[in-house]
Amino acid sequence: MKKIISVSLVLLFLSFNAVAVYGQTKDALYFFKDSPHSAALNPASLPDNKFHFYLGFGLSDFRFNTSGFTYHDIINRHPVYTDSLRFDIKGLAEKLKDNNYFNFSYNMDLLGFGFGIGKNYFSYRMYMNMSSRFSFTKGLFDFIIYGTETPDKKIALMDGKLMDVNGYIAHSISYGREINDKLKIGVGIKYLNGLINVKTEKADMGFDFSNENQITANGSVDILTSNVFGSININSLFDSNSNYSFTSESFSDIVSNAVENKGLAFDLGAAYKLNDKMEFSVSIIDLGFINWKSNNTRIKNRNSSNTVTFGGIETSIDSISTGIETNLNNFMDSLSTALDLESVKQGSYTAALPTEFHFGYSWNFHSFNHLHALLSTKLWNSRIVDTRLSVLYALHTKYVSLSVGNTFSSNAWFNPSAMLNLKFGANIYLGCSFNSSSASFNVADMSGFNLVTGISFAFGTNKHKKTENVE
Amino acid sequence: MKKILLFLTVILSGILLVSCVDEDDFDFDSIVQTTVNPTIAAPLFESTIQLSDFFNMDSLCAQNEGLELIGKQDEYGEYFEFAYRKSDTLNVSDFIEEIQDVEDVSLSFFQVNIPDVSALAGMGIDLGNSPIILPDPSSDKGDLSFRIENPEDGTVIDSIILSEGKITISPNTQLPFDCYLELSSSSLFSAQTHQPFSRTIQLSDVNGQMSSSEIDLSDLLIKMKDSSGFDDSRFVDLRYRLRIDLSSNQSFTGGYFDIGALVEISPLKIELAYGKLADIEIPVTDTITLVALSDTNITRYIQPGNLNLEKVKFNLSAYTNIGINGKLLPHLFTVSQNGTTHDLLTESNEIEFNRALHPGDMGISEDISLESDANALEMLPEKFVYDLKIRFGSSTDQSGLPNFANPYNSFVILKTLTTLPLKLKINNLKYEEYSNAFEFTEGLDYVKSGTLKMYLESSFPADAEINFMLTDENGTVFDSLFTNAIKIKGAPVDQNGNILAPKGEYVEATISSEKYDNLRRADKLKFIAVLNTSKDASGNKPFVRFKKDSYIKVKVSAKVVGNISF
Repeated sequence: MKKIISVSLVLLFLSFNAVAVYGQTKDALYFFKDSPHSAALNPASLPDNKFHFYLGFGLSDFRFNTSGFTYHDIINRHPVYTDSLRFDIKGLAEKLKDNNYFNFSYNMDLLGFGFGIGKNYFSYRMYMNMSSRFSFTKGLFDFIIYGTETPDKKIALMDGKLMDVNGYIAHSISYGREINDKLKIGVGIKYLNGLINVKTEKADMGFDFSNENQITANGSVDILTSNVFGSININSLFDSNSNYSFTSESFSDIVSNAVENKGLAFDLGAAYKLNDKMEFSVSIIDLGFINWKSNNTRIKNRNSSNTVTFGGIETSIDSISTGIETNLNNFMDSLSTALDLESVKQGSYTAALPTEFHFGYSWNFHSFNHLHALLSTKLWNSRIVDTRLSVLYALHTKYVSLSVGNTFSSNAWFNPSAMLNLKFGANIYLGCSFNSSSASFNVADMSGFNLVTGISFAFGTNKHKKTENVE
Repeated sequence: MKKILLFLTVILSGILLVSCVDEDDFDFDSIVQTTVNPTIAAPLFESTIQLSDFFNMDSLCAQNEGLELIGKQDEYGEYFEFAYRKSDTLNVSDFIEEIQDVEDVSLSFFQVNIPDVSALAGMGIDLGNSPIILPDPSSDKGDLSFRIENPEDGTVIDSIILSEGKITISPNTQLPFDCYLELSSSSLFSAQTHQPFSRTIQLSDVNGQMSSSEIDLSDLLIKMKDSSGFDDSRFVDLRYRLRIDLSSNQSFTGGYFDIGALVEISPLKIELAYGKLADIEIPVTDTITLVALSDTNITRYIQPGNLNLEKVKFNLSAYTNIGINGKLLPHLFTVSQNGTTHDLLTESNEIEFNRALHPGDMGISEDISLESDANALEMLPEKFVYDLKIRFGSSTDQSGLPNFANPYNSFVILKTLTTLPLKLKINNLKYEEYSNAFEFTEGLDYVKSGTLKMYLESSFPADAEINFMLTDENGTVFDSLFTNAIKIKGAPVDQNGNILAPKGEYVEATISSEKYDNLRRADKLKFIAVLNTSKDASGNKPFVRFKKDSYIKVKVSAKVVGNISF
């Protein structure tokens, strides 16, 4: 039976990968106290087991989501030729907001163990985290559709953010304690080794068409980068002698570089039982920073003047065509000059980690049945991103924990998710969720997905769990 | 059982999700072409056609010496005018300058019987107070008058002042006494003091005949007068007496001697002549080549008849030291490139100008104005010819003052000012300019439709119709960018032709796809502007006061609707 279940789960996992479904599955894990990974989201969440460990594939969490647009917003059924598809540029532009993005993140727990002593629980966790966010505006699409006749007579091709990437390996030591029957607290401290960082200080590019006598273009880019894998060299993007390259490092240098990028972070959490059935919890995860030193590079405008205007040309009648052509070429040259980029060496800099905030509510409304709500958000480079509210039904039994629910966010209101934890010595996690802006289960309407898989081994029953069971 | 249910739930959930994939959504082969039509509005160019582009006044002035462009103002407003100044000093040399052939006078005065002076001296007679005077003082002086013939040109000289001339008296006698010829004249006077002429010349001394003596006639005023024997007034009166001083040779014992002399009169060069001087006519001719008007930069735009100038004015001033009334007979005409002449003055004019009242004075005649239409200039001539005549004639003199002239220093200073006010009408003046066709028309493959938005501003007091003609490589026009020429109202003018304000307006012209095709075919674009001067509020077409900075500004932006498929 176990084999059948295992094979089925693997097949299910593969099928999920194949269709790339998405969701906020990890939110459900917040309430899976029978999983040691719950503590990763709130250090005050004490595992039910006395001892746990995992190695290599403790938890894999892959997430992709957009700011709300879906495949169907890009390619959909042609309204006239219904047996054909079309690129729906106009529909996409209408769907897009002023600021749009793709998020990719991947978290992999590599090694972990923990044990409880009385009301205390200690754990160690080593994991790798990669987060990236690529922003874009609807300006480019507006330009394709409307040209210069956009409603507000200007377009922004960048919204100031462009991209943020953060990757590191963390060593985390957590400590949780049951203070009393109602209150549990937890703290964690992390030592971080940075792998890659891209921090956009400034990325503005746009055109202003409001003055009918001239078109104004401006572009200003300032991006800090650091990584352990190699150095970035850009002398120009548009110059005839342009050269841009990436010089990779040897493995030993990569390791040395990672050691140079030191960081420190803290996790804080608390859980408070209102009564036997309800509990509030709160956590702050990854409150910290990394001081980046490896292959630091600043990518910025090559020239100080970043504004170019195209205002037609004053020319004699007999030189109209050559005048316009010359003027246009000059404008393109000036634009290339103004927007050209170069890389310069950058000293060490400190970048804060994307810090997550969770506010949880849990109601055990009947027997094994629970209702969970989790409000989460993330602070990244001074911007609040990815705010969402997950409402979940969960079944927590001795051998199985199952959660289904929906996550509401400003990007998509229909984000169903499911999470399963099978517990028979080894905890096997499987979860998936997807985002959709409509109540459709069609993957083409999904704006993202989240897949969580993993396995850990847990034994014994922790004291607080025993107390709950006794009660 | 629970485990089985759970397993089934999981499996069914997976199947549910997988079943949510509509494969047709990913049938990329069925994607049809999508077309978007963005509108690109961009300023293209601003071009200014100035009056100087086809009628560069400054250049015109630079190429014609004496030609100026002057800002003027009259009671109706400001305007520019071309002014051509010319000053000629004309030496008048046709008056009688010299009297060549004055007949010499050969005189045998007398045969004189000289007594025995030594005897008389021995008698104690004061011989110094007893000269022999001939003719006797009780009778008239001897007459040495000579005649000066008037020239055959009708000149009748009343009097002259000589700058050069002499009378040479060569004695012909052996008389051994101091003998003097005492000359006087009622015709000759000092030109400076007007004192009558008198002179004494010694003909002989104790040794006999003397050498010749000369009387300088320069600076003498000669008044012609009658002679007793002739009925005309062409004589120069010259009288004499001989005085023989007997005391000069007191040893002389007596004898007869002939006393004679040859009076030779050299040619007389006249400094100033009074009288009835001949009618003379002095031609004054000058040809001005109007380089700039025949310049291709002008003729390529302006054809005869395109311009209708209000008028051309001539202002003459004459200054002369001649004491004879004069007349100016102007004949002004232009010569076109084919040799055709056109008179500027349609009426024949005789303009009198003032004579000098007295020698040394200046007869001044200023601001003599003539006016004419400028038809001859509207033909864009190659040359402008002054063919003036100055005619002097004593018969017309009503002043009552004697006529006079300085034959060697007679002049007329003639100053002319020709002005051409830039008040004109333009009739169908066609301004054409070629431009290479657009080389970026490949981009027009992606154009669905387009509109040219033009802001046209004119301080040019002329309505304009503009268009771009499309020409092939042979220069043949095969289409125009605008189906109908775009009409630009000229700057409004008042009834006096003053520009009230620049006129600006927006014009939009839609460019069809066929035009784009032809644009691609075009080898060159020919810009054409047909100009006609503005009308006033009453609909009349006054002569417009042009300013040299008049312009038509064409500011073009394009609004192109793209046609991009992917």
